[in-house]
Amino acid sequence: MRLLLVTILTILFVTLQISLSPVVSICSILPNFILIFLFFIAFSVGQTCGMWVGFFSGFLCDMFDPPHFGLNLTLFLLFGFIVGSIRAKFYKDNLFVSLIIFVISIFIYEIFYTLLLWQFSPGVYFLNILRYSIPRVLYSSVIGIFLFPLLKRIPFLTVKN
Amino acid sequence: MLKGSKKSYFSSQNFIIFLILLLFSISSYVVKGEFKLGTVRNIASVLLYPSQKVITSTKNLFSVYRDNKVLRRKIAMISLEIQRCKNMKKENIILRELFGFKPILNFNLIPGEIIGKNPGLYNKIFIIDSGLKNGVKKKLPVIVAKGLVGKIIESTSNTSQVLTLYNRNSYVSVTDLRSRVHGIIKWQGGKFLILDDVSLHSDIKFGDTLITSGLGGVFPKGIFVGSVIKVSENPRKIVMQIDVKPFVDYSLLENVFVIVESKISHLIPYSKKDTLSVLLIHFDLFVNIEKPKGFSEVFMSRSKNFFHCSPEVIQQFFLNKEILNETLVK
Repeated sequence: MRLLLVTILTILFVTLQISLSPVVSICSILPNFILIFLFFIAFSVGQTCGMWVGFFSGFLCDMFDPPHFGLNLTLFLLFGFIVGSIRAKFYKDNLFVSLIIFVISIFIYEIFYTLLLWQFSPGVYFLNILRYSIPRVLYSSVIGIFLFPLLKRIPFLTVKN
Repeated sequence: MLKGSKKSYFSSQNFIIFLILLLFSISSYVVKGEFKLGTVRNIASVLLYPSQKVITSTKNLFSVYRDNKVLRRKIAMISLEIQRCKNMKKENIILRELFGFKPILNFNLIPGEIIGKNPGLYNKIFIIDSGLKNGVKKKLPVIVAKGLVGKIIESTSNTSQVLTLYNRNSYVSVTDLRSRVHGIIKWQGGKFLILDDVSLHSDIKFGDTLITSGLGGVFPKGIFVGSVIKVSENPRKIVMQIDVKPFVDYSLLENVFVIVESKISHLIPYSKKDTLSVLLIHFDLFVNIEKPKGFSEVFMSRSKNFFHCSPEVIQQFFLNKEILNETLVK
């Protein structure tokens, strides 16, 4: 049941990212719906689920970005696995704690994304992190505040292993 | 104990699966374009297409009334412009034939609605709802009324992916509309595009308009790309540093058009082409009468007598056909 639910939600969040995020963008800053969902799953369910959701959502995303195929795949996989691994060390039911870890983890993700995307143009790293990554982290965090409690209410989604 | 737990963690089944997946994803990033994912991509687009369509349609419902109002006004203005363009097109065909140029290709436009943008940091790729079923194929140029958007890089049965100019893999050969200097438009990060391959001291100025040059065979000649907003010359470098602002605002794009090449427009035989025959008759008449104002020497072509004259003079012929006839009768 949970497998089906997670699969449907992954497809839904990838679609939201591809179709809805440009609509709600502010000054070309898009929120990252996939990372919000991926973080929630990895942090509340666990490492295995985070790893597979990361892999599946990364794969779907890269289908729509052929020139950089593998970039989202690698980063989402790592993100899901690492967040799933550190979950045991934190108190998961506290929204504030989840949010702090979410902000830190997606900021690290954005840094790695920028580094990998601009591997041949080192001059633009800092500029792009300042201009896009930081506002994007903040925007995604604000959306995360509203989405995390909603996702928590979905039955069967966070049932313990 | 700790050592033991670490050992068991790294040799656990979960970790091994993770390593395999990681190896796969890193290798796929390294080989990038080498992957042939046609079928998988088709499945992914089929999976996402219905939900994408629903979201986009709902989003569009809210803007229909406002768009309708704006579009009605635009249609009125454009229909006037089309009338002018039709006249100019006729003249252009005649002039090209007169000077022995190849006939211009005719193009069909396939409309496409943007149903998605890639989830990356930058607006690199759009997904439109026209695919192979609609005749959209790889490498076809994509435009909007304001200018060039990009080109198609992948097509499935229902959707296509458009590589925009704001992409590191996008290169467009352009010409300066004023000075005819050639260059290549590309993106290296940042807010604006870059005009590269322009040698120092070339005649490029602030505000110049850049159009596609037609070189490379993907983009037809003459599509508006952007305007020059910054020109700087560094004596240490052999090329100029030029920033270009595209005419298209990518953040506001909703609909685009894919240019599909159609048959070459063959010139209609002279006898059937009303305007042209008028021109020829008049020219023939001119041989026997005094050389009219604005014309120079005569030359032969297709067994007809022609005069050399400026395009403006020929344009006047079409605009003042009746007046001309009256003049000739007199």
